[in-house]
Amino acid sequence: MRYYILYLRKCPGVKNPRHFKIGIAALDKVRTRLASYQNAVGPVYLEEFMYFWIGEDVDVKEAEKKVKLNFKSKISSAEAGLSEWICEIDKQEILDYIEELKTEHFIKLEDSPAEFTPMSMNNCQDFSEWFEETI
Amino acid sequence: MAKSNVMALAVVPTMKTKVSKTKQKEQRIKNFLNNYAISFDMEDAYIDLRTMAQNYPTGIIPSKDITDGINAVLGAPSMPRLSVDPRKLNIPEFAWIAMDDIGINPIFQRDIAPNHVAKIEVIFQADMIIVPCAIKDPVTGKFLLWDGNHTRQVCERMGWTHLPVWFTEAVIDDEHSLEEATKILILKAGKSFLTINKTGKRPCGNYDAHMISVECGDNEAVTVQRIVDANNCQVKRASTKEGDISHIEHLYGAYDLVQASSGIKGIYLSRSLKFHRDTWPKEEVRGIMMLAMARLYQQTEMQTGKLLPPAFDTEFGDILKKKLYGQSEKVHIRLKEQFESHFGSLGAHPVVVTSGLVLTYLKHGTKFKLAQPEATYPVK
Repeated sequence: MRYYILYLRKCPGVKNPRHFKIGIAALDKVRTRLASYQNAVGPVYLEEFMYFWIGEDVDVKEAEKKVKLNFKSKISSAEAGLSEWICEIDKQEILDYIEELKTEHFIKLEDSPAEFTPMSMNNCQDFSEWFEETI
Repeated sequence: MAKSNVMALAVVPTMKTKVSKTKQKEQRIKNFLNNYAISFDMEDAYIDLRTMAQNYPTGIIPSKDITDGINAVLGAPSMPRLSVDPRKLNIPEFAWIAMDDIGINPIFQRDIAPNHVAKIEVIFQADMIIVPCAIKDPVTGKFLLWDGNHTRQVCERMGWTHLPVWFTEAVIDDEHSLEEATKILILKAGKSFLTINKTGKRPCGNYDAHMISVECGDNEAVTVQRIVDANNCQVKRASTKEGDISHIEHLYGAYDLVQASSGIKGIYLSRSLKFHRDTWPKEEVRGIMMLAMARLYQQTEMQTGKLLPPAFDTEFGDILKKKLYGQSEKVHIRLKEQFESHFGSLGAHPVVVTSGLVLTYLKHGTKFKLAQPEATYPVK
């Protein structure tokens, strides 16, 4: 059994975003994943996971599948690089659905600690260390 | 690292170059579906014809519309529709052939299986025959079957004098000697046999078999469907929504469990579906959980003489959902992992999960006596 995070991103540099990417990463790969996104935008912008949730592999993978299914009509293309972007949506709708997954679908997800939200290259190492101590 | 003023810039779409094949396909499918009031799934693996048919008052889909759908997925065909009249090609020809003019050349036929003949004989109906295919041997004049040998056998045992046959003949002309033409024909027959029986074979899946059986009025399938309906579930090719069942093999596996006291099938399937829907009302029905719970009910009744009451469902549902695992999907995955961790390898899933469920209740439950588990291993 491994721990994962389910994360929500926005397009880099966009104020009041309407498009969001849902994704998952194993806890020991979170830093590498964030670094890939950071590498794509370079030093002009600080990439971040706006929100994230922590859970066991089965729960996080199921949650990701359900989010993509629930918002299928808002995913504009199955093309690589676009298939995980939920478009033209208020982020609260996604957050509400994830809450529903926890309370009504019994998918066990823990909200990220406030001090690590959002998570960026600046605090991801601290988060990993915190998690190692907490688990 | 500091945030820069890039945040303030408006992001403009940059993807104005060549449209990818995936995007082109999506556009074709979107345009095609715009013709229909009731939308339906269009994937590489299947187009949902049952839902598509709901767009037609008679429920009959014209051939052309299915072709348009296929073209939307695959792209334009190499030949325009209705541009070739195959009747002018003279291949194949159709004829009723006298049984004594039919033969088998084992070069391009597999061995005949008496047990398969027996199997077809039981279900054989004269108006349900699929026409066998043959080549006409230019040397002997016999019609040599490359497809339908078992059908031929059944027809002959049924006393038929003639067999309907699609056949092709050798081309013998200035360029091809009799020997060469025969060789070409035999190669064609061999390739055809393999294409029909191996390369091009698409077996009927369990979902299609169930739906066809239900809609054509097969007794058992209708009974299974009624149990599914009564529990607010639906049979689907792929499960995505609450109450969807896609594991048809386990559905029938659970249905087939007979209640010893009454000799009736389906009781445990019904109980199991109710348990799943009451415990995880927002989740699709996990096939292995459905089967394992049905087995738990059956084994317990067989060994204790009592069908577990609804109070058991409430207590056990809370143990699985609230105390230990959460979602149904996680229950069977974790039970399999615990079995594998204890024994070093995984056993048959129904045994592993049923045992795991029994063991879990024995550990955490308080009120009811259950069957002995088929396998014993440490559970959470």
